[in-house]
Amino acid sequence: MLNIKIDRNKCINALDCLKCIDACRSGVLLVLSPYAEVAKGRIKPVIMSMCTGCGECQRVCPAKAITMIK
Amino acid sequence: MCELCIKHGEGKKWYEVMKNYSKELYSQNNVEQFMKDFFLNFHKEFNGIIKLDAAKRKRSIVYGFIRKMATSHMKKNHFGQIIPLEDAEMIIDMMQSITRVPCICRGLTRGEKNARYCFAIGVDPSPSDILGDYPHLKENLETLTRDEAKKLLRKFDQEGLIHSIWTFKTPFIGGICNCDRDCLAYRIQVTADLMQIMFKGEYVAEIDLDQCVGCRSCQKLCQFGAIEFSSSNLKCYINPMKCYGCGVCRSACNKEAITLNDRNQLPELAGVW
Ligand code: SF4
Ligand code: SF4
Repeated sequence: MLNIKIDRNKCINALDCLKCIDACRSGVLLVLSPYAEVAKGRIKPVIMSMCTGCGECQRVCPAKAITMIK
Repeated sequence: MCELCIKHGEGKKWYEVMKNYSKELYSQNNVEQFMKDFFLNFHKEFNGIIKLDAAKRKRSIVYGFIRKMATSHMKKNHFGQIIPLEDAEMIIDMMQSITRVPCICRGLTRGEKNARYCFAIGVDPSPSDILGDYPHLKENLETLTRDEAKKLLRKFDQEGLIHSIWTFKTPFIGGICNCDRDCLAYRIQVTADLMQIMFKGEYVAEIDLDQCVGCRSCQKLCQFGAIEFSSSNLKCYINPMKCYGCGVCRSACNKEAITLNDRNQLPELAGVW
């Protein structure tokens, strides 16, 4: 089953970036908190049932923190 | 009438009943403590959503069961209903205190700290520590007069934001929200259909075909995909099974072709919430 992995060591400043959040058409990814301390690398694929596997999040991530596992 | 009207409406719409906003209910149900826990631990709810979502994805046989349990949990604690602009304004007129607060959902879905789309009503969150550990909530509070609140509601309506009311320990109503796809309830119920967190409104919209010129402006504002277009007769139609009765489409129609009707008048909509 399709899965999305986000490497917390690479996604270090999620709140200043949000590129994956903007790119996801299906609303799969969420930030979980508006606070950097909490949100740091904590972008999470929450609603995976909506994920189409388009790979847009992986493509836009400047830190290459997102991997799609098929 | 929705389940909440039947249980808490005293023959009226449940949100027309002053008791459901009262200080007595607030202290009786210990709403203050509930709100504190709720705001502080909101992000932990995600684990529940992830489990629910996983069960749905796997087409697990327990999904139906978990969905029901989760919905009944929400009904008891934090449930919503869509209301049209005029009902939101009526509620504002009943309130002694209205405080504009940053939207919790947009904080969690998009990391926005100051998306001030929500109103705390009845309870003034400033003097207490309801808002807990979230300094951005405390810092960005603004007390509104009734007129200011109504003006904002009308502005949101024109932008196509849907109004809704929310309970904190049902039936205590503590807030009015103005939502789009970044609302968690919308995301869970409308986008992903994981479970029910809010009821549709007590209304359903209808287009007067004699007035409609088929410009499709209304279609653009409907966040529920309820408006359909026919190129054969150049008219728009509202699918009553999909319509949430938010009434937002009306503001787009300069032919004034759209009206909101009582949902209860259509027998087959009686169970569609
Ligand atoms: S906005 Fe009014 S006139 Fe235009 S399509 Fe909708 S109902 Fe018809
Ligand atoms: S058609 Fe129904 S759900 Fe859509 S905007 Fe109009 S009232 Fe709201």
